[in-house]
Amino acid sequence: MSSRNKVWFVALVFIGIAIAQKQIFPFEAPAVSASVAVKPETLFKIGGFEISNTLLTSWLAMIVLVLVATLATRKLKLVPSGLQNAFEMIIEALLNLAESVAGARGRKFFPVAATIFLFVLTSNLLGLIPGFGPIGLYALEEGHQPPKGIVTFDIPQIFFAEEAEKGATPLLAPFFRSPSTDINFPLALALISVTLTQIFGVQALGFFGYVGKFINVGKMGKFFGGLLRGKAKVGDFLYGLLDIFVGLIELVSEIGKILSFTFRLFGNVFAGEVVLLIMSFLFLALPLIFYPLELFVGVIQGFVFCVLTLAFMAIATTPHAGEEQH
Amino acid sequence: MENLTKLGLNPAWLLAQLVNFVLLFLILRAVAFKPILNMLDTRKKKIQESLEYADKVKRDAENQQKEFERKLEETRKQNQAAVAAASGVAEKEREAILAQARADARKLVEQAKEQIEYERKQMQAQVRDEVVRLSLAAAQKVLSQQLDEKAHRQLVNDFLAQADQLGSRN
Amino acid sequence: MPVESARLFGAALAIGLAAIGPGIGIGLVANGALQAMGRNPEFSGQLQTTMFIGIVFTEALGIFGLVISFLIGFKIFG
Repeated sequence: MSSRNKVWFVALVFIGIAIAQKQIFPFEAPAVSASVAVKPETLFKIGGFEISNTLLTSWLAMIVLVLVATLATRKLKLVPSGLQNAFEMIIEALLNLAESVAGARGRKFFPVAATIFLFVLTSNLLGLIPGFGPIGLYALEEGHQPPKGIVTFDIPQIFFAEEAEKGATPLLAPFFRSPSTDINFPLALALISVTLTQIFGVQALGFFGYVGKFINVGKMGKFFGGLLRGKAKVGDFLYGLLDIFVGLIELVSEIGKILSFTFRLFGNVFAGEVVLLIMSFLFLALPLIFYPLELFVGVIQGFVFCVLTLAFMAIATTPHAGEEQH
Repeated sequence: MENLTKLGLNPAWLLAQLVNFVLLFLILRAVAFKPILNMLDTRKKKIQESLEYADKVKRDAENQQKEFERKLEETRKQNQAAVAAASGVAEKEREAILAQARADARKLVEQAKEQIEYERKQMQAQVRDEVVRLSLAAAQKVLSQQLDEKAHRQLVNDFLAQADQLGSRN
Repeated sequence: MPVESARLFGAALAIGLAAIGPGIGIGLVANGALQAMGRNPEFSGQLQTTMFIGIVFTEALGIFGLVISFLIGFKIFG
């Protein structure tokens, strides 16, 4: 079978599956609203604290990670095998990555970067497990209206037909939802990454050495010193202005880092989920095509978060090169 | 801030996620990173040691091989030397025997020559005696009888014939 | 409902326009990386990492557009 024929064959299989599904689950069934909500849904409350589905999934991811790590390192052997081998391979690959990006300091940055990678990877992949979206609590309220700011889709509903007949619109709140689709998770990671970058920078360069990167008044001071002695150079003034401006830009870019970290992860994964959801309404088997793509995105985003953290840390701990240049 | 809240930002959840991360970081560092890094280091060291040991063993083996070859070569040389020595002895023996034989031969020849010389000398002595005797006899004869020319010639011829006879007899 | 339709237009345009630049940019990044990898394949590992970082920086612009599109489309602002 040539590759072109294979493509047609796969497409026909998809169409067949779609038609079969439509026959089995006709769309006339009462509908429950599946929402594309930016805000994660609150599942229940413990005390005054609301437990959201993304929080639950991140706990699940943590449990999975800790479990795997514990199982893999329970009996460390010099000659690895099985789970230990696989886990060690990942760790070693991350260590090599850290050392290739940050050089000798890579070992210091490695635990944070590796934790970020593993956490993001696990939570992204967990969020893609089939069934994570559609299984959840149904908020069944008499005359319930979908809250503002939420786009709803009608999906076939068979289990809640009784309640639906009473005029309630069941609203689906999935038990598990990829934590990256909740802005708090990427923001927390970004905050930790950027804060640790600052801490490592101060550790490596000293407080004044590091802050000097942002508030760079050396040249300006030279100009005013010259002004007092009556032999100021205009070049010093201009360079001083430039240095101050560059320092300010760097200061702003530190805040920009938080935003770009947050929205990169959030946007990618959230968009992926929305694409999968919309595709499943357009055509029932269509998400299958986007699924591998989303898996890839999930891995890549974790990788990128980790690499960028390492790179920013490496840059922050490198002494400012501009001072020797002019 | 209100807009951010609409986006889903929630200080409590943010704090929860921060705590989650720190917790996960601490657990993973204790459970996974430290032991595995230690293990990797140990393994690296072990592999290095093994490689070094293997190198050492290889070097030792090479040295031993060289030593063995050297000994083999030595033995071969010794054997050769022994063979050479043996053949040299045989050659010497041969030479000695030959020389002995040659010497014997020479000795025999010399003995023979000496014998001949001796005999020649004896012969000469005899001849001299004979000549003397003959001369004496001839002189006696000359003295005893007056000789004519013819008789003289006859006498000399006789003498010479006698001498020839003596010489050929020798 | 003119406001609603304007909002939808805005959301669609936000992501649509935001996708143009990063699309070209990612193409250029991949182009450069592939050429470099073709010229000296022994550095492909390193180049790949750098390429991914470059792609991600470029892609971030598109993602920002997407986020803005969501913000408009889901009535988060306004």
